[in-house]
Parts: sequence; C-alpha cells; structure tokens
Amino acid sequence: MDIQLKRGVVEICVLAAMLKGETYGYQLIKDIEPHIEISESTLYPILKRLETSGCLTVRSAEHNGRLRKYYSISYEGMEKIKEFLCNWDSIMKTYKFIKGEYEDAKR
Amino acid sequence: MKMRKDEFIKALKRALFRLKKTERDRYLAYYSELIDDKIESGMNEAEAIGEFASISNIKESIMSDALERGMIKPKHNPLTIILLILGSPLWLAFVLALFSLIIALYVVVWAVIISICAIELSFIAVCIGSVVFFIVNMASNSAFALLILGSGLICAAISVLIFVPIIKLIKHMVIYSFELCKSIWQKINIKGRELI
Repeated sequence: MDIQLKRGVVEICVLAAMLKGETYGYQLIKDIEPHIEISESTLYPILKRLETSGCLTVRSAEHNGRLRKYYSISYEGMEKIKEFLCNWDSIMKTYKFIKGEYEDAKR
Repeated sequence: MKMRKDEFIKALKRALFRLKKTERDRYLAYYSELIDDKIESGMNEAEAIGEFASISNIKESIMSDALERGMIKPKHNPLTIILLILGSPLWLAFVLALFSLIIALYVVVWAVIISICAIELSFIAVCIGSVVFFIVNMASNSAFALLILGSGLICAAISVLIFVPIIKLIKHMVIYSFELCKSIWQKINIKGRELI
C-alpha cells in the first residue's frame, strides 16, 4: 500500500480502536494488528499527530505502581472518522472506474 | 540476542542521541510502558523486547518522523564552535578536574582493597610465624613458645572468620567500581555524541 495512503488509513484505525473507550498503547497495537500492519515505532508518531491535531486526548494515570498513558477519542476525532467514511464512497467509485478501464484495456 | 529492559532502554537512548531531549524521553517512556504492559500480559522481558524490531530499525523509523516534525537537534553553528574553543580553558580544566577526581576515587578504592588483603595476609603470616617459633623454641622456652603459638592460633581463627566477608566485600567493590566506570563512560559517550 502507498505510504501516504496507509498512514491516513492507520490513523483512522487508531481512532476507531478508541471508539470502545479509553485505551493505552499496547492495547491499541493488539486491537489494530489483526486488521492492518502496524508496529510500535509507527504507532507513537501517529498518536502524537492525532494529539497535536486535537483528534484525541491523553492522560497519564497510575497503573500497578507505574504511569501509563491513556488515549481517548475527541469530538474532532469522531468527525475525522465520519469524514473518512464519506470520502471512502467517492474513493470506491474512483476505484471501480480505474479497475473497469484497466480490465477493458487488458481485453 | 536476549536483552533486558534496562539494556534495551539504554541502547535506544544511545541510538536516539540526535533527538531533542524531551522527545527522546517521551520515546523511552513509551517503549518502557510497552515492555511493562507486555510483561503484564504474561511475557518475560526477553520475549517482550524480542517482539520489537531491531534498535537500528526503530531508530530509522523514529528519526524519519522526527525529521518531519522538526524534533532533531540542530547541528552546532560556527558561533557555538567558536564559543566552545574560547571557553576551553574553563571547561577543559573542569573536565580534567573531574577526570582526576574519578582517578583518585579509583586509587582510594583499590588502596582499600589492597589494605584489606594485606590485613588478611598479615594474620596468616603471624599464624605461620608463630607455628615456626613454637617448633624452634619449644625445648628452650616452652611457656613463651606456647604463648606465641596461642596468639598465632587466635590470628588464624580471625583470618578464617574474616576470609569469606573479605572476599565478598572485594568482589562487590570491584563490581561496583567497574559498573560506575561503565556508567560514567556511557554518559560521557552520549554527551560527546550530542555535542557533535
């Protein structure tokens, strides 16, 4: 998958994984991994970008005697998912057109 | 290669020396949290770290993102280099003083170790000497020879009693002094690379 496209899709996946409720880094990786390839080193910059753009909120809380960061989706994050789903319809139309043209050219 | 958590974090810290300190600390905290969470889910340290990509791959991924977000420390400009050269009489003297202090500390530590060994050896020497004295003077002055033998046996008893604690003490002193040396060297190494 194209890097830019994948990055955008992974960002939405990360936000979608927060729809069930507040979550943390390792849990996010476990939730997303079955659906799209993601590594620890790629997750952190995504979280950072989403935090900077206001799509999620972060809080630190004590867990078993240590600090753990918890991430929650914000209103902006929900809007971003909505926008992605709306855009995907037009992307699918484009995809069908490209595929159709390609199939015709092959014949 | 099986790594412990502290080894992995140290290696990552060294690999990310070009990152701004706040950003580097955030990454270290993030990886530390991930390892703790993996351990909590039933893995051991080596398994948790083994699941990560190699340090060089992690570094590559982090650095490319940091470059985009402007989180890499700027290279020193000529003014900084000039200031470093001009200020060298001050900071170089400080570094030399610090280095001398570390050397002095090591000399003291090893002097203590050698002194402890000398005490133990002197007890053993007294014990051997008293036995020899007893054999030589047993016939001519048996009472005094017995007194010397008795004191020699007391020294032997003391040397046996303090032998194991001394060995343990020396072992710990050697280990800690080397650990201290290693950590100082690593700190100097990181700081040195940060200045480049």
